[in-house]
Amino acid sequence: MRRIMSMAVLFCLPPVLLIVIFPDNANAIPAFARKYQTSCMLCHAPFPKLTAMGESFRLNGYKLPDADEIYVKEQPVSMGAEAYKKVFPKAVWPSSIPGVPPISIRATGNVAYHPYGPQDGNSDFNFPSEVTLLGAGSFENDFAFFAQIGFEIEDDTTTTTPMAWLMWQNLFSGVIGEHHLDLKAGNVGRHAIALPNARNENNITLEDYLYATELDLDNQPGFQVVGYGRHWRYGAGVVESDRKNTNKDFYTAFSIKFGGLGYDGSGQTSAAGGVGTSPAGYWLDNSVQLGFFAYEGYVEENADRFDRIGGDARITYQSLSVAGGYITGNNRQANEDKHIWFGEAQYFVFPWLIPYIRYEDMTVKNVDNADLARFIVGSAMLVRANIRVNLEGRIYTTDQPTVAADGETKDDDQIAFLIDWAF
Amino acid sequence: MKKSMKSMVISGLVCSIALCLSLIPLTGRAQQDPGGTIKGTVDSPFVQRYQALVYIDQVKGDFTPPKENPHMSQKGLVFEPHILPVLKGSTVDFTNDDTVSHNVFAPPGAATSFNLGIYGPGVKKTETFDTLGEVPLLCSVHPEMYAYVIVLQNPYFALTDVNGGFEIKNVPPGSYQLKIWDEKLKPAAKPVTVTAGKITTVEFKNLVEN
Repeated sequence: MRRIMSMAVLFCLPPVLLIVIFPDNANAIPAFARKYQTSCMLCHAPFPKLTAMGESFRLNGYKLPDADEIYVKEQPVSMGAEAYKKVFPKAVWPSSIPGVPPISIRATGNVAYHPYGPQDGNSDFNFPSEVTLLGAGSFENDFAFFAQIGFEIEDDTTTTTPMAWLMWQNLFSGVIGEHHLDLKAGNVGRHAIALPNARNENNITLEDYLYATELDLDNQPGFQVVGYGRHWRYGAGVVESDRKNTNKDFYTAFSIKFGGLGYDGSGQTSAAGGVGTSPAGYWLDNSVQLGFFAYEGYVEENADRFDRIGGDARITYQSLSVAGGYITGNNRQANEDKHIWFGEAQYFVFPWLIPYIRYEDMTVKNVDNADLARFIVGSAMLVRANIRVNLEGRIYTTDQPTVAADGETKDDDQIAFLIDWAF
Repeated sequence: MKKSMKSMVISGLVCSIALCLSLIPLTGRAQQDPGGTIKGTVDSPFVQRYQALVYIDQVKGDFTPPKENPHMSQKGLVFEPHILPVLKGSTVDFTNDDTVSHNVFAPPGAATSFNLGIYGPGVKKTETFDTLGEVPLLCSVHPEMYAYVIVLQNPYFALTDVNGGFEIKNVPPGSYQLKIWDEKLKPAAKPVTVTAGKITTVEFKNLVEN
């Protein structure tokens, strides 16, 4: 416990130590900063974690809610005048494309040191560990798009991962209301194949959520429907289980929100002012969010079906954000049964300094020596609005089931330093 | 007696007519320009992008703030206007004309430091500026937004046009220090003497970047 406490104190201080980091899907898209001539902080707190406004922007197909046009400083190119809607079907439905290609680049690099465990005393320099080229935006009000090519560099090998999707928004809006049904096709599941309020895309720690890595939750090619209102949002999809067969996976996620800025951008953030008060920040969103997630899948390799089901909660009050969640995963053929829960807290000490702590615990039934428990303790620091560094410790409180050279299982504790930047 | 009464009436009429005639040019002058004009340029490439404020440092007398409050809007994630010169004692209306929440605050070191909190669309807040000097305005929700309120002692000021030109009219005759403020330039001053009905030309050159 003393070791955990002392590491907690260390990582709450600004970093003096350079130190693995595994960046996830890029979620920060600086092209939008250029389009709106605004700071990253309108949508991220800190990047890649979305603010309430950023979440609303994302759900709205990368447009600001209500009156997107008044904020756009970089004018789009018309693909047909508005009046052509009146001529349809004797004309192509008018649209627009971004004035300049909405391309952004994100790069991450890291240094990791392993004070104990299988890599006892090892340190690694990984500069860069990943470079991502990404673009996203909207075609008028009806379509949104996302595309990225990720280059992951490891041991002189570069793995390229392309992904893209197109979303048709506001289907049947005249009958069921706006924003209630959008259809997405492509590499879907991003933001939906996860516990809704603890997604890796919103993760400011270096370490992915344990449940996401242990339960193999990732994007897949397929179709997804999404929708949202003031207090709720949902996603449901059908995706390929494996490209070698015709089996399909199914999933659904649902989240409700009380207080704060609505998922549709309605409602407003407020904070008192006055003499002697400090200006409150861009991250404010006093709210409670509750989420549910379920996934039913198939693994071709051993013809196994599996399921994951869980729920989470996030409470945000002033500068503090606290979350917790539980998820269980069952691989039927393998008779493997995982139960994972976590709790985490993040706090804005300053607008640029956000210390955090997370505890994760996994119990695996029917498999020996597979249980895990660990703390993730660190600080995220915005050197600039588009440059983030993290100093983070990963401390196992049970022996991590990694076999060391001498055959002994040891903790794989780690101290790491990340630099993450985008433009 | 009758004669003297008649002569008094005639004298009175003559005096009245004379007085009226003498007042005509005075009234006419009062309706025209009672002072002089300062005209000139701020010669710096910065002023094309960053407007400069040219103002007279001190003018004798008390100047009452306008009855209608000066207005600073937040719209399209931009403060409008970017520079708002106001008279000391003025109360400025701050309005959120966007569809998102905004904040207005002036950081420590400003002539007047304040924080209006975070508030939604359609809300109007006010702040009174009693101290001369520069007040940078920021929005804690949108860090790229900024503007300036410049609190002045008198109403004799002008903002430069895209070519750096400026004109200050109706300046009371006298000798003054003419100053410039620009967010990218170091402050500069020049002595100037204003003569009633005349144009005084001033050029600011060799200005140094902040």
